[in-house]
Amino acid sequence: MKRLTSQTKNEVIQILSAVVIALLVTLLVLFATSEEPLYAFTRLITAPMTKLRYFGNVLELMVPLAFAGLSASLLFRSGLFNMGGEGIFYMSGIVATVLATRPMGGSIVHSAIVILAASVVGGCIACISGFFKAKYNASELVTSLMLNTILFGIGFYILKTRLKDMAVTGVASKEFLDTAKLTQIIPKTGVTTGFIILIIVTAIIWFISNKTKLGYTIKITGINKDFAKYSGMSFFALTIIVHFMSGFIAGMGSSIHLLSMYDRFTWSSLPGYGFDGCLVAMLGKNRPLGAIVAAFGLSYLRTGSNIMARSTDIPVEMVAIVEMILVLLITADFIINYLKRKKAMAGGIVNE
Amino acid sequence: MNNILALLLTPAFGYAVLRVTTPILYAALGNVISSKAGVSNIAMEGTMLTSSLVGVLASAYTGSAFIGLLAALVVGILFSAFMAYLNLYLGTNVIMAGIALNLFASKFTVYILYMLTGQKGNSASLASKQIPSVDIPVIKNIPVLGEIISGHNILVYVALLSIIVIYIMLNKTKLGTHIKAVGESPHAAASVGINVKRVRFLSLCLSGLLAGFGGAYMSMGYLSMFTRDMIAGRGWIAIAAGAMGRSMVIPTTITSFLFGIFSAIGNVLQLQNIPSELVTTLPYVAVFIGIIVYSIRKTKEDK
Repeated sequence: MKRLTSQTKNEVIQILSAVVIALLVTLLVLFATSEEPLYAFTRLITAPMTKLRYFGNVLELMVPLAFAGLSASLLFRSGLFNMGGEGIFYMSGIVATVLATRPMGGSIVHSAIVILAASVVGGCIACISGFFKAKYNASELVTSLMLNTILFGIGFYILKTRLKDMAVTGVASKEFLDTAKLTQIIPKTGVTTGFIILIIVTAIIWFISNKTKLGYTIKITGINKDFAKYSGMSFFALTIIVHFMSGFIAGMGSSIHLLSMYDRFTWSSLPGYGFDGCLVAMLGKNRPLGAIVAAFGLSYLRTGSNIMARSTDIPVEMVAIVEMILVLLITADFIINYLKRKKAMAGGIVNE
Repeated sequence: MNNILALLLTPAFGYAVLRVTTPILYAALGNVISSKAGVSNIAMEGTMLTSSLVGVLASAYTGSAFIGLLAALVVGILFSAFMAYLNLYLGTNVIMAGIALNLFASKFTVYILYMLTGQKGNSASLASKQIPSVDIPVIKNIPVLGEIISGHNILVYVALLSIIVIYIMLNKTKLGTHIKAVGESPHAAASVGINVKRVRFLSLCLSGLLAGFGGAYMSMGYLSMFTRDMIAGRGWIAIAAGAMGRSMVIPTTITSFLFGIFSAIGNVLQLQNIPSELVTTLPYVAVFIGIIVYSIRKTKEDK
């Protein structure tokens, strides 16, 4: 128990110092490039808290980021570097659009059908890379990235030829039916019952990760691939299960995001949530609760930088610098190692 | 159908294949060097993207294409050196670092472009220079062959030349022997006095140099400006080519050309009456099928 608390303490120090360093660098960059650095900085940091609508923006963007992050962290945790969330978000979005634009039962039933179908399709897509990885050791990183572009090509083709609403200019599907859309829980924002689903899904993933044999096997396999054998589960089965779960969650995130925030499907390029999910997973140290916290943090940062970009001379892409510093400081071990060494020199117990 | 076949059998198609393969080849060769040393540099995409922007900026501000190229190469090396430092000295997982740097490069290039030009999409407003194309004497007069091989951008020939240089470097020099030793067995290499970290650091820098060439070619040869996310997966295609070529120079070169051919076919088909959304996926489908066929065969061989 003592080991655990000491490890947690080190990680908290690491994350806090990462945040402080990232903010300091941001301030430096703003001073170097902006006419009004302090104003821009305060907009970035405090603006999302100044209005309920802004805070609503943080929560509504947090939902897809969190789903994508949960999806990626499951894979990363088991040592699988799959970045296919991007293509799954698009394709599951297309599936969701097909079903959400057609009448289908009452309100809850319709939403449930749409979300479930998008999730199952997402799971199946993820299993393509998963299967070839498990059976033939084909690099899931390469196959998943190729699939992203392929799925986008197919999805966009379907959108243009089958789903396009000819009555509107630009490429957009027909309107989603009201029965499919999710109910708002904070008025005038995109925060819907989808947020509640996110909390439930996170709790389930947390339970699987920490309280079941499957979760233990996932964690152990991430550390050493050969350990899966001794747990009584084959590497093949584990890879397929993890990929399906991951794709399922990504597909769910895509459909929930669409049913919460959109009236029509309008993505004419890959949405970026899949890649953002990888960042979220890294920031959250590949843990389910970490992903939720990281998704909130990233969403807060992005919302803040959006507001900042609207009222200052700084473009929204500036946020990439902050994000990278955070990711690099949190994925590198050196702060943790430094803390351990300091403790060892002070005569304490060295962990591990 | 005959119409398309006729288009594929022209010298112009051969010329296009060389043109399209060049960036893939640079990145694939860079990947070969780092893989030989036992670290996979998956940040090729981001390195090329950053270099292509820097090349355009440096050439626009100095008025010299050569300085633009030089700046692109230096930045390619620095980018990889940064990743090498993270991985070798700060203990970041190399795949994680690569993923993070790729994502970073995608946005950071847009940020820099916007700060300097006020545009987010491309660098059309900058008067950036192009690296010149050259005709090869004698060969240019040979029918067909001349049309295919002559008249390319200098960097196309540099790419072809680097196949030979890297082959010799890996197989005939001390550095090459060290790189392979470190990749095959780091402990054995260390026991005979090779500095494993230094060799790996150097290999990653070399792969960054090649990515720098690839990036400069993209924005100062293939196109005449920088556009947002202009590498468009070529870095990943190159990594697939490296994997299928088992990190050996000649097989990797052949796979790079194979993927180049599919990209060129995709470009030709786009001009036909085939939905462009589907046609643009062709090179990616080729890589996807290629890597799976390769893995299946390898699994069977290993048994």
